[in-house]
This record gives sequence, C-alpha cells and structure tokens, in this order.
Amino acid sequence: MKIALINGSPKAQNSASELLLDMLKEYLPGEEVKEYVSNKVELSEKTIMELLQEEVLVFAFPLYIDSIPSHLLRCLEQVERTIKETQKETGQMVYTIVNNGFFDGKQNVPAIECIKNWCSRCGFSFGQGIGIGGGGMIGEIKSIPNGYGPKRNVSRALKNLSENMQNKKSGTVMTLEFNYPAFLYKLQAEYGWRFMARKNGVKIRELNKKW
Amino acid sequence: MKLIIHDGDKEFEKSIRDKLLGVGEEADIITDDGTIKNCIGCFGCWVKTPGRCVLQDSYNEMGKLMGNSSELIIISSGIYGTYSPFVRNVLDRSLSYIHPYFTKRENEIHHKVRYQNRLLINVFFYGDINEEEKKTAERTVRANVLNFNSILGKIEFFNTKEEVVNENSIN
Repeated sequence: MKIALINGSPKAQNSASELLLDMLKEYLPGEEVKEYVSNKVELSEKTIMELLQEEVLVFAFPLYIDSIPSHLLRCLEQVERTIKETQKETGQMVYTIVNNGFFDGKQNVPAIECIKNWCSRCGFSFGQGIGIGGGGMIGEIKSIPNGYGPKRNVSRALKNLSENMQNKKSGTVMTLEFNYPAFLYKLQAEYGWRFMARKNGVKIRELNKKW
Repeated sequence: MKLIIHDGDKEFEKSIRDKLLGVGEEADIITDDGTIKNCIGCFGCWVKTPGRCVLQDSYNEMGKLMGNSSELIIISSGIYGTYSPFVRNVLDRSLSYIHPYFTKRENEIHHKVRYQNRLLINVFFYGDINEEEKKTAERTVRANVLNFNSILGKIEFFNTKEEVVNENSIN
C-alpha cells in the first residue's frame, strides 16, 4: 500500500511530529512508505501530484494556538485549489496525529476537526485523528522502545491507527497522554524553560518580562 | 484600546477605521502587508527575548500589543473551521502574550498569563463556511479564549467581510 507520511512541523529536525511518525513507521512493515516534510508555506506542484498518487495520507503536526500551524494551513489550501483546478479524482484516506505541548490530549480536537473539514472539501475520506498531549517530552524518551514505559498509551494508539490505515478503515478520534504524571511533566517543562533561558544569558526573573 | 486583526487589504483597513471606530478612536490594526514570517517553533519569545518574537519583521510585537489592549477583534475568512492562514500566522506569532509556565484552568493545563489584562475577544468569520466548519470554528475560538485567559464576546458568521463592517456588528 502506498502511504505518505507528512511531517507538518516547522522544525527541520527532531520535532515531536517527526518522532511520532517514526514510532508509527515501526507498525507499517512492508508498506510502501514515503516521507514528506511540509515546513514551508508552499508545496511544489510535483509534491502535490505525488501526494495525490498515494492511497493513504498521514499528517502529523504540532498544535499552534489551538489550531493548524499557518504554514501547513497554506499548504492544505494549496492542495484543495489544485484538486479543484485539475479536477483530479480523490478518495484517499487521510489520518492525522496532532501533538501539543500542554498535557491534555483533548486540546488537539479542534485541529483534528479542521483536517476532517478539509477532507470534505477535497473529496478525501477522513480516517482517524489522534490527539497527543505532552509532546514536549517525546524527544527525551525517544530511546525507549515502542510500547514500553511512558510510551505505552501512545504506542497503542499508533498501532490502532496503523491497523486502520492498512485496512483503509475509519476509527474514532482518540485523545491521550504519555504514561507520565502531569505534575512531573509540569516541573520538568518549567525546569527546561529556565535551563534554556540561562543558556541564552536570560535571567530567570526576565521570563516574566512585559513590554 | 482595541486591537483588530483582519485578513483584508489596505482598503479594507480603511473601511474598518471609517466604519467601526468612533471619531478620534485609536486602534492597532494588523493588516497583511505580504511580509509576515512564519512562527518556526523556536520558543525564542519565551527564552531568548521573553515577551518578544525573535523573527525580524513588522509582526514581532504581537504579545506586547495584546498585553496592552482591552479588546481583540478578529475579522477572518473561515477556513476548515479555523482562521485564514494570515490571521493564523499572526496568532502563531502572538505566543509571547502568554508565559511558558503552566497553570490549571477549567481542569486542563494551560500556560500562565504574562499580562494581567483580560482581553474581550470578538470574532467575525466570513465566506463560504458550512455547518461543520462553523461548529469547529466556535470550538477553536473558545479554545483560544481559554488559552489566553480572555473573555468571550461574539462569534458570528457573515457572507463577506464587507458585511462585517457594514452591519456594524462590532459596536
């Protein structure tokens, strides 16, 4: 089966979206998987045509102010325009994995719904959306194998997604968090911000700066 | 002071000034001049130059503008249940309005506020927006209001952006 994994993070490398797609790939052995990066405001015509040749599209992206990052939204509009201009036949299954830096996975639901609405405009079939909270920690646990420790819940959801993809089936929207206590996530995230600030020569009290 | 973000051109900005603002009323109006850069997710606005976006263009003070306003008005075409790419871009660049630390609000984890103001948010969507997209758009706005610790005003839908200013919904 021809599957396109589209990383919609604006970060060039080591984004949570990329790492989640890496986890998903482990559940897709033997499939013809092609990876795309959509971190610019425009896709090339060649890329759009290639995407429209695939059977399954998976968009992974970070939640930006409760929605789809603007660069990716521009690309989605571009795909819709191309489909309408070329009267290209669609019907591909579309799945999405949205992650946020908060802890609660359910905060990704509006962005998942936007992808579903985009599918209706483009003639794609919306397969399933997974909203994952605590995206900030995935880089720290990337060496832990799929299915173990804090990855248990997320791995299970990605496995379910991969099975639906392989059967071209729809599934319910799932929202979840890593198996990790919320208070520890909060403490570590805030320590991380202080660490980065100090590294940049910023005093801790300056984190509160108002202009 | 009002802060107005819209996705029209310079002429539409003039309509906003003429039709929506009172005589002598000042407002910060954010218009697309074609130069806006995309948020690159670097968090520099939190840990390098706290409160200010590190990208150099005319949209790098959105946090300051939001923090010093009492009301935020958004006029945007409705796209798939969210704002237009330009308006989304401006909002992405407004991350510095909030603080990196976490707090709990309505039983969910959100970011703490940087500023003490509570923005009244009014959103006017326009364009060809179907019922599903309207439902999603409302959810999106409500999520923004909660994240920004703001107060929800109106969420309304119009056929064109001209109707938004002509029907004078904002006043």
